[in-house]
Amino acid sequence: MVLCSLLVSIFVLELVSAMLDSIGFGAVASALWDTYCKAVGNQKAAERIELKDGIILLRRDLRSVSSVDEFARWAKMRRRLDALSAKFERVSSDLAIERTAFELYVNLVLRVVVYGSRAVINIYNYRTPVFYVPANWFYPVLWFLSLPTAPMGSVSVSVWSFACNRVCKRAAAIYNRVLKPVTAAPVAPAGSALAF
Amino acid sequence: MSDDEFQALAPSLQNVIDQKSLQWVFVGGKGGVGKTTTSSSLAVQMAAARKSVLLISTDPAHNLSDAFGQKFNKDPTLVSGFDNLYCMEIDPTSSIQEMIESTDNSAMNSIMQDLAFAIPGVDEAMGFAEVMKLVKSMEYEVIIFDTAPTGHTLRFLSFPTVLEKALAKVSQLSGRFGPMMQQMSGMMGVSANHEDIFAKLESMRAVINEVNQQFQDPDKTTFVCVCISEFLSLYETERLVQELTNGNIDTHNIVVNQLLFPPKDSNCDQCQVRHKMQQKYLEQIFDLYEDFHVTLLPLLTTEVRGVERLKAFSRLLLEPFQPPK
Repeated sequence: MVLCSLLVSIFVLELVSAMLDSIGFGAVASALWDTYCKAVGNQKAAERIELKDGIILLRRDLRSVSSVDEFARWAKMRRRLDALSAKFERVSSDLAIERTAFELYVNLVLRVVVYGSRAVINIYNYRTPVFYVPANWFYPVLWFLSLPTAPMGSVSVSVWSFACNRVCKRAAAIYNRVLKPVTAAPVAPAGSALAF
Repeated sequence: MSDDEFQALAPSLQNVIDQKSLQWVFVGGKGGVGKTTTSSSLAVQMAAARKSVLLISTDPAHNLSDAFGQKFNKDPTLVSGFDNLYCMEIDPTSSIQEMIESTDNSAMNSIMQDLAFAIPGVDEAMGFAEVMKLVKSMEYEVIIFDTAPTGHTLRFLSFPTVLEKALAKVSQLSGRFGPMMQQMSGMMGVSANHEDIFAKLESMRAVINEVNQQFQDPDKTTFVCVCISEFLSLYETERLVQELTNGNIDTHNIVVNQLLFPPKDSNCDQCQVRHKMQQKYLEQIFDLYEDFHVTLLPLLTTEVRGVERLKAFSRLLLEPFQPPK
């Protein structure tokens, strides 16, 4: 029973690792940023959204006022818009710094978790065989299968996780190729130099 | 709150004359609005209230000589008819010549000369060099600048900051690459003494810092914006005011020039239409610049040239114009 769960857990771990690799650690971190902001109650993020709304409103109003006929009113609105825009830039850049720090941190943590658990399982089950193979099937490679320290005639944790890794990576690659949405190749306009 | 709080500020430039701590006055605005006339008039009135006044033109296309009817050059010259008003027209070309000839490295001379004239902003740099000299000597109580059209003026005023940053970078680099540059210049046969150059740059940096601080001190420096009552000039003035405020340079005076005051029974269509349009924009000016002194100057039938006419015109800066009935 223990061996069964070891087999399955290693496979699951490699599967998760392959999926994360194909999505990209960065993408995962970016996706988590919004939820993190809401969860922690990041003031700057809320302020940024407020400022952005304010700027959009002001811009719309500014377009409706004629600069020639009501120059004073237009100029005052313009001054307010400039002040808001400057504040927005400042808050945005501060927020971007925080976001980069957060993404790096999440990236690191994810990597540590994935690689770490792989290493932990390896070390913890140094001598435990994952499962036994019939000796006559695998005669020539029997010794390699049991590397480094599993009993002869069994598959060791390293070999099994290596095999799972390859399979899962392959599967993820196939999944991406087959099931990714297809976009049309860009067509050059008729008569241009690029059209053949 | 009493009504006095909402009273418009006095429509004259008396506040500039009254501010005894002022040392630098800039007069600027986009082309053709009457900068030279205004700055000359202001200089004339200042001369009556101060011990010594210097009027500098930083415009590459000088016309102070035309305004006073007297030839000026790059040395401060006494204006005829006055005993404490001096004028100076900075000529960037000759200043560069001087500067290049003064360095004793003749091999680089011709190269430097060609390079120097090609650099945009060299007018500002030369103007600024003169200013720095004046700061060190400070023999004039007030210095009035007749500036070039807006773009140049803003570059001139922001020159201290730009130069400060450049010099900071240079002194950083000198610390790191000084010895290496010494070797390389030895190889190329150019015997430049780097220690001296960097020492000079450091001292320049100190003066530039000083000037920068003086320009950003509202008690010492102020900017008078000259405009006409038309849309483009108004737009330009607003832009100028915003840039000055962003650059921490004090401005609280606007002079609206070339205003028409046609008599009520006039049958000149052009004058009436123009007058109406000017009044429309004038309303906007009063509405937008509530915390500024807005001085109104008329468009006269004669040109304001020569010392006598300038003296007569300069009175309009202090006493608002009364159109003839």
